[in-house]
Amino acid sequence: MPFPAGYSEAIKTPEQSRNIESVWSYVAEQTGTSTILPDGRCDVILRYNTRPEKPACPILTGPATKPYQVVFEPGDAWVGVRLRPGHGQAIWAKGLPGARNQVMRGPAALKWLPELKVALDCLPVLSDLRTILGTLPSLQSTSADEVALGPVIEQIHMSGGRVRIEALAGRLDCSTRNLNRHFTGAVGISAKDYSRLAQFHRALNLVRFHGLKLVDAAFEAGYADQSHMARAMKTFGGFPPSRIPEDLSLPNLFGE
Amino acid sequence: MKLGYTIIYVADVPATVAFYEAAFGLTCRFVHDSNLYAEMETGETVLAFAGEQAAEMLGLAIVPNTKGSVPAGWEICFVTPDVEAGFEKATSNGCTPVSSPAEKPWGQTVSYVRDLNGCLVEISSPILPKDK
Repeated sequence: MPFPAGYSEAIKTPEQSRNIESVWSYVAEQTGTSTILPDGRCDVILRYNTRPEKPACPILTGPATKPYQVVFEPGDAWVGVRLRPGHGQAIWAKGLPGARNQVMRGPAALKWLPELKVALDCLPVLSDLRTILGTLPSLQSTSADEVALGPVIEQIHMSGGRVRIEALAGRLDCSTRNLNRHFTGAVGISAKDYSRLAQFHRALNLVRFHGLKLVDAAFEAGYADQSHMARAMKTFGGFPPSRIPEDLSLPNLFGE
Repeated sequence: MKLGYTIIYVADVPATVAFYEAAFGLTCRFVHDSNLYAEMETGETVLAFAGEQAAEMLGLAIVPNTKGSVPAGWEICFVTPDVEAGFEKATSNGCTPVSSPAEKPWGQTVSYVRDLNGCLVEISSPILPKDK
């Protein structure tokens, strides 16, 4: 598509959105549940309730490949940072692959990230919390692996998850074995699984926002057939393609 | 319906524009503020470059062109009466030679290079009408 002249709205590219930590917050006004879709990224979350008698709980999530349900009631609130892909080592260090689909709560979370204690102390001032979570010292470092894998992660997204591991290894001038080792070490899940997640999200977007019928979305997203896509949606979303939930993640999950 | 644009998705739009100006003597007619899109002055059918990031923003999935991979199965073709000079200019400004200028049985001189992104570019003489 040509970009017309004079169209000067600030453009934030998908790469830019992925590569900044997104600080988000949410306060539930009514009882409900929400499905959080996996995208291979880690979160640092503080869950609390606007009624102060309920204790606040720090939560760390490892890189997810499965959907999870969040149940909430009025006054339940979250503030969180979604780490950029490849940045999970900042919290989990060498334990990142073992943190896959793990959720640490309370003392277990504080053990991995003691700095969260400071955040607990400044409840319930939301603006302070956002600042503190966005500037946690542990999250400021960038590993060499993360830098090296940047173009690989971008290539996975650019191809909608349809890129061969050999091509990714070629990009880094290394063997597929080395690529897999570095990728799993830095992202916490394999390049293949990360690609499957990217393919799933693209298929979902084709159905939800690009007006494609299921059969056409399955073809364009690179699934062998419609039932192949149905299996992926079941695995990563927990729903069949015919029943994609309207509210797939907590509002404001991706910042303001 | 008519062919309006040929748009190539590239890693670096300004670098590609500069490269096409130097290697093929084109001029740029428009660069978007975002540096994610630019058009060359190629008459009614526009040769344009868009950032690879733009593809994802539009919901597309693409295989990026790179110098080290086998080129995608299509090309753009520049036509000039002096193919030798065009080929020389292109290769001395960063193009990788693929096939040096050679005359075909039908009288056309044809050569191929690859650009900074590995895309296939043909430089050839016009095909003259048979009665000339």
